Amino acid sequence: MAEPAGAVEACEHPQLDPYPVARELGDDAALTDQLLSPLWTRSKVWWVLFAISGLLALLFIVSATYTVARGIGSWGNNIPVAWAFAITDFVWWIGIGHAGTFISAFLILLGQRWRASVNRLAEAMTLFALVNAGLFPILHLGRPWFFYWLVPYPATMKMWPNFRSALPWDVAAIATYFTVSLLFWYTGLVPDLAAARDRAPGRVRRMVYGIFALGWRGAGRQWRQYRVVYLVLAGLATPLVISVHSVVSLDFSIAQLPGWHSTIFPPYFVVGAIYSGLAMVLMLMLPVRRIFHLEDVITRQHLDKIAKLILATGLMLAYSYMCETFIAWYSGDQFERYTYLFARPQGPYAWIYWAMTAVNVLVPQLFWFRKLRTNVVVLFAASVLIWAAMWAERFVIIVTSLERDFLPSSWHFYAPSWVDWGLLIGSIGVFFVLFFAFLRWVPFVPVSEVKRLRFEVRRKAKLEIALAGEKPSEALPEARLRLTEGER
Amino acid sequence: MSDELRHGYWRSLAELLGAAGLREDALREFPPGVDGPPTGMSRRAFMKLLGASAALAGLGACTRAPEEKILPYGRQTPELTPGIPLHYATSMVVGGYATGLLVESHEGRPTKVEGNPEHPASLGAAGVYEQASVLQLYDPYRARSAREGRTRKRWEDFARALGTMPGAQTGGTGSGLHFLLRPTSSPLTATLIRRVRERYPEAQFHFYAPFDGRTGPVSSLALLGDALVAQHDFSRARVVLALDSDFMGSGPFSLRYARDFAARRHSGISRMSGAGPGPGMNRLYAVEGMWSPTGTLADHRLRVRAGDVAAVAAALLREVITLRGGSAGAGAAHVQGALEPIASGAPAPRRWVDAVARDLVDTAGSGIVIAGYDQTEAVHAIALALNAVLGNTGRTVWYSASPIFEHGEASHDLAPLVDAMRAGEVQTLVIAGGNPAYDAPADLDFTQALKSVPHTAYVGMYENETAAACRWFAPESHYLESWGDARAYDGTVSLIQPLIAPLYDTRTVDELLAVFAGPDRAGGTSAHSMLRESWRDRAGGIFEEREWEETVGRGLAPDTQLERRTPSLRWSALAPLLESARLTGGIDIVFERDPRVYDGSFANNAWLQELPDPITKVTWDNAAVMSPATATKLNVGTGDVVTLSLRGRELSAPAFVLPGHADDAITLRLGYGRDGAEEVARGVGVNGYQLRTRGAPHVDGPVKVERVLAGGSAERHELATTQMHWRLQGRAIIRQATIEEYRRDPDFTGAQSTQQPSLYESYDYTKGDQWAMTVDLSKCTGCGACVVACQAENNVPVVGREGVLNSREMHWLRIDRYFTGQEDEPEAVMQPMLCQHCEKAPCEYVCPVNATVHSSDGLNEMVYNRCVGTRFCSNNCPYKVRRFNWFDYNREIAETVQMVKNPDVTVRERGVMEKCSFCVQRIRRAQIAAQLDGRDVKDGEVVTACQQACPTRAIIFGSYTDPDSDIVRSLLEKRSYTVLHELGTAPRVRYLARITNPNPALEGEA
Amino acid sequence: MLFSRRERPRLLAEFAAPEEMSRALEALRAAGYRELETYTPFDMPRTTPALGLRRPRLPWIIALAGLSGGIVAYWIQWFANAWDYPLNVGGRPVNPIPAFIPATFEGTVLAAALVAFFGLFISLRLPALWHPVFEIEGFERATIDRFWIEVGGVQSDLDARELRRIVREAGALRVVPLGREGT
Repeated sequence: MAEPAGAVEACEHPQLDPYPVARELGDDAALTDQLLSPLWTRSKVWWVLFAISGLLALLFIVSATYTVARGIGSWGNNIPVAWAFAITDFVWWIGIGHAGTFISAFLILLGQRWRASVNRLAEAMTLFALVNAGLFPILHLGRPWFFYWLVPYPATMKMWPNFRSALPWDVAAIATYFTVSLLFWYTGLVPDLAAARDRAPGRVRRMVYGIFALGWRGAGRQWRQYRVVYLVLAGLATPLVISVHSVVSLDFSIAQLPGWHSTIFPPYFVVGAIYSGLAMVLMLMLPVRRIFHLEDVITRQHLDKIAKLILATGLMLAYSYMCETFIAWYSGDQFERYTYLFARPQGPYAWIYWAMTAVNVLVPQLFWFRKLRTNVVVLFAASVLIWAAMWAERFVIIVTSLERDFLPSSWHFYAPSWVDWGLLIGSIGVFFVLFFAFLRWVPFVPVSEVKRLRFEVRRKAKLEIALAGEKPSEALPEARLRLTEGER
Repeated sequence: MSDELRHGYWRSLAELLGAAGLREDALREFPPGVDGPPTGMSRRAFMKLLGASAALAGLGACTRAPEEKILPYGRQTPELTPGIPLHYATSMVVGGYATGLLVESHEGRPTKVEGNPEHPASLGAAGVYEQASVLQLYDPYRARSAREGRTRKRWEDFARALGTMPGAQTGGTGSGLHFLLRPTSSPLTATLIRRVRERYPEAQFHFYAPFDGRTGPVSSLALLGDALVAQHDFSRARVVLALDSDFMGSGPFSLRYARDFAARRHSGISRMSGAGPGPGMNRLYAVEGMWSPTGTLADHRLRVRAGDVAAVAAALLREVITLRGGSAGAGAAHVQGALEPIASGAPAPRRWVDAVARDLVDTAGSGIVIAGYDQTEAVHAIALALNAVLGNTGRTVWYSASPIFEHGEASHDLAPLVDAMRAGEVQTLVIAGGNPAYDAPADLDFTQALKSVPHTAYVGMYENETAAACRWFAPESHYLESWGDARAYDGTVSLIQPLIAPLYDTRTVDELLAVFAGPDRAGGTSAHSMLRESWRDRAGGIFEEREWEETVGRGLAPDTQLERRTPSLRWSALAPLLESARLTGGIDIVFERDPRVYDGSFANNAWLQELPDPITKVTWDNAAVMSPATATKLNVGTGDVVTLSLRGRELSAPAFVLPGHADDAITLRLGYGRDGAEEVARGVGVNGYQLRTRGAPHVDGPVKVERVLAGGSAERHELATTQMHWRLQGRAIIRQATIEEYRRDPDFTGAQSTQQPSLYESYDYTKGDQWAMTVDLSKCTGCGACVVACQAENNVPVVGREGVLNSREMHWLRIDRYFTGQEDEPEAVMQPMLCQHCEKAPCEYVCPVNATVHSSDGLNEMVYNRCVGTRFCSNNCPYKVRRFNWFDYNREIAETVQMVKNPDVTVRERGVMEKCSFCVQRIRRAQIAAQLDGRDVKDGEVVTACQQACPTRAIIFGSYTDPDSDIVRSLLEKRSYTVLHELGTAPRVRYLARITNPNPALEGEA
Repeated sequence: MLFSRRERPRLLAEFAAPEEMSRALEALRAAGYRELETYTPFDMPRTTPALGLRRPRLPWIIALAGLSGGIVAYWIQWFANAWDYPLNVGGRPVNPIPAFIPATFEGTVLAAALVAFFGLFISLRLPALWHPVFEIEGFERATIDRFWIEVGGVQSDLDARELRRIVREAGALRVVPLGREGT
């Protein structure tokens, strides 16, 4: 009988967290209601936030329209700095996306069941980040209306894309990544949509959720097939997430530009991506947890674990910084040395370089301490800092390398225009418009997974009690407590 | 429609795009105040409408062929590219002297100017003014109709009105009738002037140009007894001493001089490196304050203020006379005394003076001492004396009457005219060309004087400052619309024939004079008929149609050089002239002709405005240029606005700190700060003429320099330079060696010329044509002719000041300028940088849509139609020679300006990359021609625009599969190397290392 | 025979707790019932064996899809750059294998993922917005907090009574025949 790994082992997983879902929850019905009620309860706060992000999104639309109408000249770009904000934003957003897939796919393979409460949120973040990431490369084209020329299609003139260039790889990678993330996300969503269908007030809601639930019945056969496919998708998404940012990094490392032409880029970019993504997951999770009173679903355990991941990826990133600088010096190549030892640390944008290095290397060090790992304020502050610093990192890599390359005669400073800023800030607006819509209309905590998790925890507790033998009264109060909850 | 008819060029993108939002944007990107005054918009709107209406009129005219029969250039010479649309020979007059040109005409539409290979002043080369002049023809801001006051008139009305002006009435004596002309060498004009004088005995003619080079004739008048100009033969000069003379970069005959000097230099390099016959390498000493293109080629450059050049020259003369001893001639001995006081103050190292004097004496008879065109009588006199003492006179140097009419005479002084005007003696003043209201000496206050003249008429190409000050105005024809003649510096009579019928209701100066002179014997008043008549006269009545056609076809009358004269020197006359040699304390100010807008007459030419200054690389501006030491003393930096106070006059200008500039001196290029109706020129830079006085047109001082403070901090004005960094960072981009080192180690560039190893098997580049180019750094003066030529040939757009400030200039070919050596005594090196057409091009493999690929004959092709504008290619181009169309530059230009576009080259749309194509349109045309004759393309058949324009022949182009070709000879020179060779890009452009010929006696000196 | 094979009734039992349901399931299986199906709000892997399902074929199909996706992806690149319109691009070879790997990989993943997703719903005959069980009043709690067992292959009324006993012992709240209102 094909019992996919992870799924079952996880239940006896030694490190299985004692209480990933806390005690203060009622029975399954109550739990379901608590998790689904946001879908049909009005909220002023929500409207305010939605309106604000709507305005920012408008800024994006204005800037984008202006860019297409007037030309890239409305940006600050020049020769030599032909790539700047737009590409920075692109790499930044796509990097952020990675954490979602990481949490939902990676951790399921590693049997980290605690992910259950947060993966839906993280996956949604991935999708919306990808929407932005997809927009920037197109806007960035000199003639955006021809973006489809990067796609291989049988044109009458036999004009094909050039697959020696990294940009068509990008197209393939991003398209695939978005599709797979969407499928993965939707698959996970189906049982909860069914729950929403069966719980929602009002005929209209029932019908809408009903349609999207595709007629899910929670039959044993369905669950079995579902389990298999979900794991396969996770198995596909995991190498994919690594390939995507590797490909993005190749956009730079296949060039011979000092500061781009580096062999450590793929791992370096992937780590940085997950690092920044985790920061944003925290950024989103903390307010949601507070607003919807999910302290019992998204527990301090979750915060603690994500903080640990940030620390880990942060250390890897710090290592990458050291490594590339050392290699630049060790290579003895005068151009490499100039870029890493002068242009960045002493050039016109030195302040950004030092700021981002400081934040990305030092801030995660806070998370050596459990107290700080579970302190909501510290976590939020840290994640915002990292989130911004990772944008700065991409800016430094792209702009400072271009500003000063081989011939000093062509060196020139870069300064962004209001359109550049409009697109950056606007894209954040776009993200939040989508995100708030998601919170409002989609079950943002995987209800069925939480229930299953609770059930397994309970069963395990029983087991412990049974093992404890005749005297249930003295048997592990902790476990008993959980047991009673479960059966209340 | 009206939207399409935008005004021609713009100073800021904000202005160009008109959108208020974007103007703010521009201001945000760049310091406020940089942009033009926002109040300009309404006026600008008006100008647009004006331009629109007249542009349409122009279009109607443009396809019409001139009534008079014009003749295509018949004779084929090796320099000529066959197969190109008709070429017509004509001449362009700058500063009174003619340069012979061949103008390419597409369907009666002149689009490109080349040099006339047969013309002594050109030899096939064409400078920046000639190259850019074709744009001036289509300038939408040219005056289009005559006017009286504010009311529009026709030329005929104007002519009639002239006839009624006091002094000009028929039968009148001409008293009170004054003419102010540009100095002219035109035989026709001379004839007409004579006839006017016959008719109006009391009419007076005056000539004025801000740079008339009359100091030369004046000094020779004293020393040689006649107003003569010095002629030089640089092909025979072993040692050249340039006394503040930019003989290769500017002034009459500079194209020819550059060609001769470079040819000699090159054969010298080949011979001394054992690679060929020919004379030895020449040596160039330059004494100058501000870098000149000539100075950058100098083997030894002495950095002294323009005002101290005379002293250095005197010191040299004294030394030379001592060394020559008896052979110097009797007179020479007793000028020593007169030289002493100046010479003793010469700011030149003793060792330098000795060495140079010794060198001059050793090469006596085959050296040249040349004085700056604008330098004082003293310097000219000393140069004259030096050449005499050294026995160069009669060999490498001789004299001839000045081709300029009445040159060196009183009529060339503006002061008498102004006095007469003030005294009310001038009833009628007819100004033909020039722009005295703008460029006359400040102390004469010409504009004020003009008010006291009851009747004023001005004929010029633009409604400029002078036009504004005159009651009557009538538009003048561009030379490409005109019949006429003029003399080259050596006297060769050159023809001016029109390429196109006048676009607007315009006439030439000769036709203006004809109004007063009346019809000639043949009854003609049109320039064409008068021209033929005057030629018939000169030919003594017998004048065959065939000869005429022959002459017009060639564009010049052969063997019409002025006779060589070598009168003996009157030593006694030397001393008084030396009084004009001055050594002042304090800070000098030096007024210079601008290498781009000349005296301001080309200020409305956007190509020239955007052409970087050869040395400072500043565009769309002039600046107070000073040395680092002086800047430190004054505590100013580049871009700080300073006030220059001189004799109670004040002027604010941005400072520019330039290594290698003389200390305690400020160089101010003239021709900017225009206030006429020329939209492009208006408000660009500052007007130095406001400080320039009659007494000291070249050097003046002491000038007080103060930083302008705006609210505590220094007021700043960002200068739009195309090159921010001038250090080489120890990178082997420029290779140079002395001739000695080169002889000792001919392979010193070896490491940078071999093929790099590669994992890939390389494509076969041995068959068919395989195009390649070499650029000789020993010859490049950085004059910029190639840049403008490329711009004209390849329809390269102009981006305006904001564009340059944001490093968005579109030039396919740029000239990088680096300083080497010590900070205080640097050497300047020029490096033309263009697409290197790498065989392993980094730009190609990163293009996602195959928009840039490689051709089988080795061209790095750019497929505009396929480009989507990812700009990855530019990021990956180590030479950063790719240009991006940030905006739709070509949709915004006036229809007249669209007429200048080369129909053989795609006009690029917004959002696509572009770059040097090795003039692929010329290559393909030649290949087609060859194919039709069933032969291979001959060497020299394909000439790129830059190569054709280059005065020094620093650029060689051709197919290396032809073993017996210039390109192969050039590629095989040992000193050739590729830039950034270590990247393995395998460029098709190779540079020939710069070889200098320093004087061994000056080891370790600059 | 009381019922024809076609009209053979299918009974459904509702449970409040997952433990009870699985207990009932085991019992039914022990009693020899083979046509079993469960309806649960969340996945209960441990109950799957009791349903006696065949090994799923889908993973193999997905693997095959991935493989062909990769092949197609590489073929497109080779056809475009090396066969249909070869160009000299920067002096690089027309068929640079390393450069074609990234897109090939993405093609593999994309094809596999699409087949996995659509394969899932096709194999489950979804979407099917209506199903007989939805007619059972109160069944909607099957996605919330109730656990159902569906039993088929009930031979006779005797069987049915037997079956009712088993599930009631296990703690079923009620037993209803599919399609008819049960007691």
